[in-house]
Amino acid sequence: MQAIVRHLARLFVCTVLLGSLSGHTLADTMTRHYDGVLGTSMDLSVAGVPPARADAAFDAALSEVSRLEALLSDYQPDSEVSKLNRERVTGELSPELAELISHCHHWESETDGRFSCKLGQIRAAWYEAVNADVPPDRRALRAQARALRATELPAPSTGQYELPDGMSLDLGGIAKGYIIDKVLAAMQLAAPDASGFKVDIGGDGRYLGLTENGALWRVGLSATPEDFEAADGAVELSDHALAASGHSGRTYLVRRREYSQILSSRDGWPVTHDTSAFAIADTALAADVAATVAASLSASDALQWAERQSTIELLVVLAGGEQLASAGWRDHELAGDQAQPPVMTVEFQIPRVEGGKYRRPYVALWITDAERKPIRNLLILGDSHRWAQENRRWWRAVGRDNRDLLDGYARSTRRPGSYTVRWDGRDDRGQLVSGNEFRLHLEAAREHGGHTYQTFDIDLSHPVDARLSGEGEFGDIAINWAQVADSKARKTAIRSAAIVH
Amino acid sequence: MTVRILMITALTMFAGTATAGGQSTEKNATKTSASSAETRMDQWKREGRRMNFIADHDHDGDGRVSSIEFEQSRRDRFDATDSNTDGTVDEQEYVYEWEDRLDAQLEIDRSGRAKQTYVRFAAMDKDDDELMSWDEYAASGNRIFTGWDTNKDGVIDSADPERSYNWSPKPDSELTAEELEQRRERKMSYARSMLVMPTTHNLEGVMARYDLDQDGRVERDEFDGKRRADYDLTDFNGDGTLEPDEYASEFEDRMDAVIETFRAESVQQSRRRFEALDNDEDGRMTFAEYRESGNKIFARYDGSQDGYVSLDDPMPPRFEVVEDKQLAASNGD
Repeated sequence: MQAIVRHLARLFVCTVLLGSLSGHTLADTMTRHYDGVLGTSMDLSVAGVPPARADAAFDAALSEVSRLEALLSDYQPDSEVSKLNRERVTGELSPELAELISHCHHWESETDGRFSCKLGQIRAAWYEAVNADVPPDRRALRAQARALRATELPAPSTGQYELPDGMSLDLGGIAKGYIIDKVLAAMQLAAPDASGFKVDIGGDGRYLGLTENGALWRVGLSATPEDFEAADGAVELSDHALAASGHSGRTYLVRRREYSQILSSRDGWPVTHDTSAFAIADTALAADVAATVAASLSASDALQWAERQSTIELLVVLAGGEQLASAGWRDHELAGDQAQPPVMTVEFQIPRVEGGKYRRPYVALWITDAERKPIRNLLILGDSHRWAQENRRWWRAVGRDNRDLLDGYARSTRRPGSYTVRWDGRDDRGQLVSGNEFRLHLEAAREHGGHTYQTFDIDLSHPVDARLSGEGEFGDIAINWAQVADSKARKTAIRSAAIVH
Repeated sequence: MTVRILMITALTMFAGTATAGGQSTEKNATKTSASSAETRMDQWKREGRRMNFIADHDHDGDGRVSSIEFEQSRRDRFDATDSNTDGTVDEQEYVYEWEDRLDAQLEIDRSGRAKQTYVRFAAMDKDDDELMSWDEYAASGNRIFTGWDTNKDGVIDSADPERSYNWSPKPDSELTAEELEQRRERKMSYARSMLVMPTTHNLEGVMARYDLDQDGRVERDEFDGKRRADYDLTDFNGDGTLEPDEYASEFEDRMDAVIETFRAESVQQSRRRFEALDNDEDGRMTFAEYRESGNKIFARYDGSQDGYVSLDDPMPPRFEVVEDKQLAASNGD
């Protein structure tokens, strides 16, 4: 299991029990901290039951963890999964491993193969590389990864289970979440009358019910373990799980070079972008998978994927601190005093231009504040460094000094059509903006084509429904904003922030 | 001649760039000493190298590099390279420092090229269905072939009149300040790039890829046969059409092969540079030895000899012995 833990970054999530500060408690929230669980530590809480009952829940949790570790740990040589990887064939799978493999199937198909449990031998090649201090052959790994993508992970069935040639199980990115869910279930069984539970293993956790005084579980997010001020924000959870993943923590060190332990299933190579991802889902398993997938994709790809998953919310933090959040993420955030600003909608056309070699345009939409400082990138189409520079205004104002931003933010170019982008009134770092005066910038450039730059002044204090007539590389542009009263309508409005036809 | 080349290489120690995909220095020297034409791209790179030199060492931001600023840069880099802080740089420290910069730049080059393949795919995918059919692939091949078969006899060979290259960017004088700035950045980025992939934009690239029997001629059926074989090989899942990922993977395989070879050569070369720098051959380079080589680099750029390197200095001449890629590319910062 060490490997599983190893390739989760040291993204720490700390729980603050609001109730512990208040004087009147019916029954205390009991907490326990254990070291040496799955190669990391485990924190448990039970609320609303007498100490003896809480202890029963803790005992149940501990025995569940060791039972599952003996099945699923890939660093215990005699675990079921280690034996299967070594011997290639086994009798009937344990119900737990069978269930986990079914989950692997499900998530592989939900992610078009970006999430994979089949990379065991590729990961082994990286361990070997570390030991020998020789980097793996990139082409050989790519060939291996491509072959694996074309080979189905056998579905568990009754009777013998056999792994295809070249395939070993790598349950990093899913087993920890699975175990958290199981541990929580065991605790619930031992203390069914408890009002709330928390299971946190190495920074990933699942939260159920409420704390002893009826509050949501409050979880601070921080990309650095030392920072308990929760630099990346805080969320309130009940009946949800939260997982974190990133690259800043554990790496493979080969020839003095550090490689992320998050491998791309596309080519078996460690991902090179430096992003951290936090995922909220109904189960710890889903959150674990989502955080792993998100960290292996560019931020914009991760967001696009999350927007298609109705039960997953995602926060991706780029190296420079810029945040990209899925529409529902902000609903989990601790509500501040600030009023929610209007949601602005920009609808624009990419016109079909006849004649010559047609190339899809590179498009940038961004917002500056009253001092003309860029505060938010709404949309970047085209991730090529070379061509992004053709949007000269954007390049000078934003792109030139933010290489990571382009890598993380940009989406692929689009064909002619009508597109919609929405702005939720936050800056690139996820903070609500203040003031009412902003300027929207729209820029498009096309190889062998033209270059168009348009701006539109925004005053958020008055609802607006405006239309700019098209010129050059843009067709007509419709802009409107209005206060969206309730949070549900707001969420629906922002949910389609993903570019739509 | 080899001795001279080594000396020049020595001048370039801690050089910012070398170029992948070229031949070794010596080979280039003999092969290209006769040729004199500098392509526009080579010229831009040469200008870019000087701009990079200024950008890298102009600490006070006044647009020029004084000899004092440059000396400070040398000192800083020497100290950073001397990882055991014993006051001298040994070969391992020297090579490590080079490898770090080499790998960082190759990673930038690699990811940029990898992204470009998707742009190329989209350009070739005329019907925009995110698949490249054989017809679309063949159409692109046809453009390559007819482009080089300038006398239209169905063979690309020495009988074809030289292709007039159609890349003629606007002269600087016709550009706006913004466009000039953009061009400046482009030149600097070209100059930093190390990875050169064989390309069908030059005849060498066409010959390397399509002249299978190496007779200096590419016949049409030879060309078409190779295109078909490449297409089928790229079609990894064998469904008769190319997905963007298949197309990109094929290119990345070739690119990784080039990078691997280039990287090994470049590290080897850095050892030779170290030997040349270590004048007294005691296995340690002192700062005095390092400074001396730096002075020569500075003097080369400071054509007016006023103690400042700026864009007002006359552009240093191209090296005579080597035309460009390997060596001239590494001259400088």
